[in-house]
Amino acid sequence: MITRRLTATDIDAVMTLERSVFVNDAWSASSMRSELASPNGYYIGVFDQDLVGYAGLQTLPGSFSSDVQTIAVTDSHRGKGLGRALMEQLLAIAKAQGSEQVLLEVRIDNEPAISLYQSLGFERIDVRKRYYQPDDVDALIMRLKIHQPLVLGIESTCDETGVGIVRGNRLLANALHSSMDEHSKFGGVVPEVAARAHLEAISPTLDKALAEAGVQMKDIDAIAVANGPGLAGALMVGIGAAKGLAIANNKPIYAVNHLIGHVGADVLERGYVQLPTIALLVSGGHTSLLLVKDLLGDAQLLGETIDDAAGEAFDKVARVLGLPYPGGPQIDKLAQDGDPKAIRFPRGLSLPKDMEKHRYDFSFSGLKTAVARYVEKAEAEGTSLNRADVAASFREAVVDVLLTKALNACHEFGVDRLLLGGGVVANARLREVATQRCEASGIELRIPRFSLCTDNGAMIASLGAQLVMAGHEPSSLGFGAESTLEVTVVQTL
Amino acid sequence: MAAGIAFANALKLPSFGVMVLDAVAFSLTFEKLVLTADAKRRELFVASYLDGKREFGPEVIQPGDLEKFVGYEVVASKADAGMVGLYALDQIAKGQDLSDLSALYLRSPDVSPSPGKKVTG
Repeated sequence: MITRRLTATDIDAVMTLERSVFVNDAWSASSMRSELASPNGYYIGVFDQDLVGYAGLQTLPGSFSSDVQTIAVTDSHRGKGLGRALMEQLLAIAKAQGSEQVLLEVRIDNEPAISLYQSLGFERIDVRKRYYQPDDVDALIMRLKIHQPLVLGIESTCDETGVGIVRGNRLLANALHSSMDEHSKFGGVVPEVAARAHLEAISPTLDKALAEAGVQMKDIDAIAVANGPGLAGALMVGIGAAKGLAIANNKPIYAVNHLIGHVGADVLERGYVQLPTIALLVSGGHTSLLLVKDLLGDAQLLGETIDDAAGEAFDKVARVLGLPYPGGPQIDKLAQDGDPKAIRFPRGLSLPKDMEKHRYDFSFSGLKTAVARYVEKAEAEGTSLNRADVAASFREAVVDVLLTKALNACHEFGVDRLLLGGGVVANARLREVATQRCEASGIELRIPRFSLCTDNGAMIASLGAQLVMAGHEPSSLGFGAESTLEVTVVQTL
Repeated sequence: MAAGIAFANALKLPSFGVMVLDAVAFSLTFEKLVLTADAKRRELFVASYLDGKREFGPEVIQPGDLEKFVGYEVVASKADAGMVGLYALDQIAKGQDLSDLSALYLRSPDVSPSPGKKVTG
């Protein structure tokens, strides 16, 4: 016998079984078809050549609650534990989806079913009178409570010390300490300065997160930590702390991928992440374009920067314009009064020959040099320089190339969803142009709130929780910092 | 240090800071002792002890500077966690203050402030 997820193409087999089991109250083919096709539904079927049993679950986004929609087993296959097996699978799916309860209704005269549900932990919570028509039978409402894991996550890949706490897909705390000010006099993040700052910040940030969540260390079910990609020295502090916590309380530990953490951050925004999605992650350390089909098992790096990260380009151009670090907000402010079309700065890796080899890659080094040359030339010739125009035109070039490639990816992979993450998402123009272009092409744009876009511990906790909920094994204590961790490695075992 | 701090934090235990060469010296019985540890870049971390009391260091020195310690036993430090624990136990019993948990860096981060670039106009 084979068990698999059902889709709308299984409609004929499902309706045959549905009509044979529910003689008087079968669903119509059209409502069954929409159930099978719904993104909120999850139907599984058991095949013994023909379909012999099926069951369906519905989980409304952000409700943290699932409903068992239906369950049916054909006469010839009853009494073999098939119903129980189907229910157990639905419950595993509900748990992995972050649901905190599963509800169902059952005919009050269906004693075998009621006792099956009771043995799975369901409790009677209500009776709905004369619910089943035309038989005129009451419905019993039953509920199973699901304990979702309380996970503490640590982020220390760059200059932010983050400790977040989640329960399942719910955000409880997101404490952050940034060492950005300490880097400002150096004009960029200094790895050793970042590592030292993490060591000082880790304990206070941990205390802050626990207080914010109102939980104690002993209540935590699992520890998660970002073990890459990032700065090796910085990563080691977070990993050391995570291992210390895990050993002290004998808790499982999950070493997770920082970049996938960014993609998963949207789970905390609305209770789930809609997949597949194209994800554009832009920060001072990363400029990556991803195709994510499954958060825990199918992420593909389409392209990334071959030189500077986009955030770095902002910092460097800010310096050229005599603006302080970090450059992003400074340039954003100056650009408000400038003309984005005043100067046509180059769009890196956008020429036809580049598009063959580097279709989804980025390059900002040439752009930064072009801006520097432009400024130097104006100085040498003594012509007046409109700094606001330079800032606006530079910003436009960055935003244009980022979104052109991201939307190309959406079209070419047939994915009508774009998720933005990383600190550069704070850029007003990036959000504005992304909104316009996505609307124009019918693409759903997701931008989590800023505190979940920048590096943070909550997204790491959330990814750890996803792994726990889906039943993945914890990592061994032998894992280390992986500064160039591949995006395909969600968890380092 | 991060692991130790987190471990103590999780179990609500007090935590103490130990300069590792002091712990190694405590495990040895030389009247005049110089302990060295590899500091990379062809330099050494060094501390010297007279009758168990630290009189120099910890500092980063050139290997050639070891010649200045005439009559001292020069030992390459081999530290383990047990030594750190035993030394801390002894010092706490003697009422010594080991509460300083700040990292004892002997070098500054390899970086110099950026002068930036001024553009007017």
